[in-house]
Amino acid sequence: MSGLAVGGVYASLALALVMIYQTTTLVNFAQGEIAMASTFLAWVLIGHGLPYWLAFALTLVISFVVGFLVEKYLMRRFQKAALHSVLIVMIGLMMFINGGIGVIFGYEVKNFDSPFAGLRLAGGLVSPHEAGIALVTLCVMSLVFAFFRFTRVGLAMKGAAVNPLSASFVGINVSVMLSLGWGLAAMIGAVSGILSAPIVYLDPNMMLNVIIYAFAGALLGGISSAVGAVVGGLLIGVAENLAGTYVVGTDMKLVFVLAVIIGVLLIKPNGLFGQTVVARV
Amino acid sequence: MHQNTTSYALRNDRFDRSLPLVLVLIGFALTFVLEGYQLLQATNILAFSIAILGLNLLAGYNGQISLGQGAFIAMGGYTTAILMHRFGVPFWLAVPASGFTSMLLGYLIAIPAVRLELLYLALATFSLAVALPQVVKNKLLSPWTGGVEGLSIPRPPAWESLGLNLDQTIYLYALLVAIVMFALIRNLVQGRIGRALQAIKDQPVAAETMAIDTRFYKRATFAISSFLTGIGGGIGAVATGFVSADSYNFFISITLLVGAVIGCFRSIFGALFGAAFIVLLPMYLEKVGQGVAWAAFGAACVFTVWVMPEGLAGLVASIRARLQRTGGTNETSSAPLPSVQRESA
Repeated sequence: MSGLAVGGVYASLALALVMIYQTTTLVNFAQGEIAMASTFLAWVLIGHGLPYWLAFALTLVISFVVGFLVEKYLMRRFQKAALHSVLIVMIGLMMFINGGIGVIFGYEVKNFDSPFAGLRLAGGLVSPHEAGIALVTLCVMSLVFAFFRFTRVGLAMKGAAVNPLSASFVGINVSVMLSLGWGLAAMIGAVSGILSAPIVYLDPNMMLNVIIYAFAGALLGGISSAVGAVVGGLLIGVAENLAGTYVVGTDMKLVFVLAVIIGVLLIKPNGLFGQTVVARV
Repeated sequence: MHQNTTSYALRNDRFDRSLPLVLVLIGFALTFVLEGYQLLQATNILAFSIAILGLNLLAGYNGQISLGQGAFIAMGGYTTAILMHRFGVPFWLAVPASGFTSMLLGYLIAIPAVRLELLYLALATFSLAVALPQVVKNKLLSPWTGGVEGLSIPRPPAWESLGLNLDQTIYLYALLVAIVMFALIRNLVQGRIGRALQAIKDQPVAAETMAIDTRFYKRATFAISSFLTGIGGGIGAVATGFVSADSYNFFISITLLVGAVIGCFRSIFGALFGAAFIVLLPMYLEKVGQGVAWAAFGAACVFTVWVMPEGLAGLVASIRARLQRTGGTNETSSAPLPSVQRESA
């Protein structure tokens, strides 16, 4: 049960990764650190006396804007660069955010209170925070799917991702859509960061392990599929918990996840729900 | 990018011939100029430069990538530590041995790795880098690795017959190894194999049709790169005198990548620039505050790719080209500098 809740965190970060992969066919290595920065923002806002949910909403909005701007003013410059260069830029961005937050807030571990502490559900079988995570994740997922299914902007984003050229012919501003993708990814990542903070505690390296689980989730579900990311993230959460408890021990969880990643890449690189992409030479 | 992939090491002119000689002379002179902690840092620079050379070969010349080079640093470090600690092997023998164990590990990893696309290779090696400390701490390995506590390395005897103290001995040894490695790799990339590696990087399909065994060369490159990185790890371990799982964390893999980026992926001597950068910069910046060096590394990476995709070595080369041009004929002065053109593929 708690695996499912933690899986929700992985699923939302995996969803953020897929969001960027769909529009740019890149995996954003800095996604975890962006989420970490958002979490620090939420922590500061709450520290200034804002009510939790107001801080939550404000963080999401700011994350969206920052993600949008990072794409527009930084990543855009490397759009046509070699994949090597783009990877390095993303790793650089990751280091920069990690170090920058470390400079500002220090590396000592901070507590991040859960807003669900007062709840009691299922007769105490589930911890309140875990139930809260599951609930929030479910809401976010539904909103994301509704956004892509029912809104014009969502449809335009899908169009821009599937066929940028045709999309631009029918009047979609493809470059704005790319920035939007980054903005949304940063927003969804922020949710996962804020939700995982009460579990992994708040420090600049908090997302380092979470992002690996999200990679595994996204790959398992198929990195080109949003549904896949959610299912994959949940599966990884449960599997990690079970394997940690019964098979490999808690101190080897990352090794287990590494094995999942390599296994998926070798056996079924497109994951459970992904589409096979055929490259033309 | 395909028109001007002529790398600096492939161009053979007076500068290229005199640079190694000058570096070697400076290197020997430093044995007697520096002392104590400075000498340790110099040894670290040499160790890292060998490790980065491996990454350069893999990423710069062969177009693969590894964000998990820490695995080979750890393999090299632990091999050296175990051989010296448990079997009393002298350090000058343990370091080459750690190169070979890393090479073996690299070859085994390469068998699945070379099948992956670049993005997935980055992903898998990144995950390896994060999971590495847990792998090293593994209970199955801990009788050998010392588990969480790590393993201390006995101080080797100094080469007193040469009149050297211990720091000087280790430094001089590192220098000799570095000279051999740089010379070997320089010859390798200038020859037929080097051209094959570049062909695989630039035009994989064309390379295959010209009967270049792409898979074999990729695996071999991975193995050689691991060999170099393992040697670097071994020297680093001897210099530090201690290995532990936490010293081979995620950050060491990424730091190596930074060194390679700063130095310029497609350059032999860039590895030395990059190594100096990653060793010396944190020394000054960590005094300012924790995390400053890391932020600076990140900014430096983005900045390098942004304004000088060829790294520091590229900058040196472009200045050199400019100097030569002003000294030589004016015919070529209108031609654009190849080294400062943006890479695009």
